[in-house]
Amino acid sequence: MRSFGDVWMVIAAYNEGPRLGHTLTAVCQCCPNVVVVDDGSRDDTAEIAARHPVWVLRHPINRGQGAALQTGIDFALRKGAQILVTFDADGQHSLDDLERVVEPIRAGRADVVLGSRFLGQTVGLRPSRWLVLKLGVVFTRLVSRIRVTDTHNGYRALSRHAAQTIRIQQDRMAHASEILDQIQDHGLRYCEVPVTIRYTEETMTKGQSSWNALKIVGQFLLGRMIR
Amino acid sequence: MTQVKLFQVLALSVLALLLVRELFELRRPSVSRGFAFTRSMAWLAAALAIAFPERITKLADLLGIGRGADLVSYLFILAFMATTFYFYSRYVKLQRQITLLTRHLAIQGARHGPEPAPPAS
Repeated sequence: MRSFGDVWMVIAAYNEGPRLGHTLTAVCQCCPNVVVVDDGSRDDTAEIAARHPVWVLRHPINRGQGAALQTGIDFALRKGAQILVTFDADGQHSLDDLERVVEPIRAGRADVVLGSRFLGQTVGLRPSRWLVLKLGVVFTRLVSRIRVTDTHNGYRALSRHAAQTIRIQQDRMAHASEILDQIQDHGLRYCEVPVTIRYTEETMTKGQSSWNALKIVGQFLLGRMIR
Repeated sequence: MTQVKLFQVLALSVLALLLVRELFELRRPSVSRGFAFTRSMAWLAAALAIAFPERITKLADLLGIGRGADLVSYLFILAFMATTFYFYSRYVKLQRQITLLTRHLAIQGARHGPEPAPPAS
């Protein structure tokens, strides 16, 4: 696998102790610049991260994935990052897709590259989750006026300019919609690339419930009204 | 002359006490005068509505609502909604400030794992 010395990987982790070690072992083999933000976990997430050659940042209290990502992005920018990739801690994302995710930024064709499981593949995706994700696509087209095929995919790459422009204020899961909203508002160039998402029983259990989607919609719409 | 009802006596007594309390509060330097004044106006409005219900009914008639009690209910619902949104907005802003503080602490305490940190570009 080729090295990604010009890329900073930002990984938000909350109670990911059982899965994070495996993810970081793989990530560290190809990427020397990794930031793990432990979002106030109650387990040994921070300790496991600290065993790897990565930067470890710790939120003293849990603030949500959106807040943790913005913390990691801020830190990477301070370290001079030119290309930033957000990557899930639980092993759902594949490093085989990394080259495809960062290539449009390197080539200067896009400011933001969004991974799409619907252009790529999903392994183990339940029908109920598929339906919620598709409804999310319709909702985003209506509210944010942005045409994408996958709205809540955490695998994305940002140029330095995009990372400086986008400010995540939705601390929790609504940040994914907020990022799309800001891409559109700021006129950032974006493209989607196919990625593979692997669901396991463990990640599905820990992940968001389908009903939580309604809460995310509420948080997003109310948060949009409060500047 | 309209006969004064027991409810009016009780309610107006309570509101008078509240108004007196606000006047004392206003004399304290640590109290927000604007907030105390707003509260005083709310108590005064309530006292007037209770003391002169027929005026409220006339006003309701003018607005095409019908009963004075309905007008008071509508105003109360509107005030409740405005207050709820105001406090939700304050809550969200407070949450954002907590996040900024948390972020600051996290970045200040950043540490690198076992291998030497790669040189920052």
